[in-house]
Amino acid sequence: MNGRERHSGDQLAALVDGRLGEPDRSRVVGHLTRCRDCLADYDAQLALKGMLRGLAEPAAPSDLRERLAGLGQLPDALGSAIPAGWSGPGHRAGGTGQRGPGRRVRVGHAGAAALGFAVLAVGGGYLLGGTAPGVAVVPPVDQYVREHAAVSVGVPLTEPVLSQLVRATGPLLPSATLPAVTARR
Amino acid sequence: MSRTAHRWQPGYARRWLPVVAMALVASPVLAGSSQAASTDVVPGSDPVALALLAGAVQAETAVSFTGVELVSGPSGASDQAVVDVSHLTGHGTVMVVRGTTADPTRAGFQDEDLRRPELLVGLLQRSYRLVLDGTGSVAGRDTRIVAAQRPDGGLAARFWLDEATGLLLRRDVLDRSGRLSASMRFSQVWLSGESVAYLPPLMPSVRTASLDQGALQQWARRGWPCPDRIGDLTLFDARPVAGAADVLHLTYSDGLSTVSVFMQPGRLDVDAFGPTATAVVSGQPVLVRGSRPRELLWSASGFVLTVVTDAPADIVAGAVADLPHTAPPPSGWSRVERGLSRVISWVDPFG
Repeated sequence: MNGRERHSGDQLAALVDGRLGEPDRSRVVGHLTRCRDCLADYDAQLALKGMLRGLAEPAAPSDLRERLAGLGQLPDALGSAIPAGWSGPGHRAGGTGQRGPGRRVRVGHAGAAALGFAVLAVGGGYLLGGTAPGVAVVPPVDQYVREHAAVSVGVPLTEPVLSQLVRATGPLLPSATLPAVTARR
Repeated sequence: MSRTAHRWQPGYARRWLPVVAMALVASPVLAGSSQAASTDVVPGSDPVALALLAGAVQAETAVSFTGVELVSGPSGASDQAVVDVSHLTGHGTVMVVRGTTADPTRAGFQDEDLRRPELLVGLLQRSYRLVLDGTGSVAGRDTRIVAAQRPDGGLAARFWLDEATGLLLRRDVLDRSGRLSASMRFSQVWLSGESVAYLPPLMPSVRTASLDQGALQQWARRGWPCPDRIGDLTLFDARPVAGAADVLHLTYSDGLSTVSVFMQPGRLDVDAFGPTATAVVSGQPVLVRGSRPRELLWSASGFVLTVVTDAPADIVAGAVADLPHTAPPPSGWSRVERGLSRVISWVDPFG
């Protein structure tokens, strides 16, 4: 890009939060197409915001994504529309500027955010990782006992599962009164 | 009754040896399993002992009889059940458990077709050496005794087989310490089947078909643990549970005891069971319910496992040892990793 620009600063956060109106929005977007540092900050803030909300990474406004996708293909008019005053000391448009106090402040903010994220991630992960995965299940054990009885009876010379016999409701005649059947062998 | 009709004869073994051979490859799961190889049997069995057992399996359905059975568990006479049994060839068996002051009389009818005669000898041979062990007498009838020995020589069971008919008249199962863990013996027996005026309800039957080896492998590929053997027991039946598409029922046996393993995805909702006994079996904490049969429940590897069994404690311990175990509580960092993985899976639209 041509000339020096100032970093987006607080306006970047406003853009992330969707609070930045025109024409500032267009200016910041144009700046992001040329400034790798601010673009990195923008992506980091989006990721952090999405993580803190427990949601998927929020999609950037579609028109913004389209314009970022066309990085390097935007008309110079957009870039030249950014006031010269945007570029503060040490600004490195296109990733070639010098570092300055403003940069250190942002790095500090990013560090604090990273630390907060780490604490949240470790603490949240510890809390969330305390239980075994899977849906809680209550096996129908009585049904399983019936299934066990039905299959295990297939093994010869073993006793049936006597617990599966049911309460007798009919008259059980004494053996002596029953007709005998001769053994067949 | 006559005790001369079916005395032991030299041709008896020759008649049953083909049956014994067929038993090794007859079960659908066993046939396709590595356990079906003849090299997996415990060596040294006496062919006469095998033939006697095969004859007893056949006699169980081919001979009509009536008798009184005494069935007990490891507590012996204190938990003994007295069962009136009447088997009518071609139909089935009526069983009536005599009531006590605490329990009502209970009855059931067991269809003759439920038995799978090809199973017994094959299962026994994979875990035990079968040998002749002399003669004896049960309910006034002469018997020949077949012993099942563990590979280390320890006695696992004895079968008392009627010399005349081949019927099993007594069976004792012992644990590794030599204590009696289960016993069945006839106190009286008559060679006659009796039609009963009251036909009790059928014993439970399964409503799903057995899986063949290919179908079982598909379950295994989907993540279900399907070991061929657990402890001293061999897998002889696998099938889904009726009405539950994702529950697999595997049944294992050594020919003496049976262990059913039910596996379904998820984790055990321990709280739903209320106050329940717990135990540690082969290092695995389990919930314990019932006594005969006993039920053990736990979670492992993303599955809830429910074991239903009438097997002695040492057999159960060996079986549980070969089933998935619950992972130890996660360390601090692994817990964080698991939590983050969950968060990532929540926000990943493709996860």
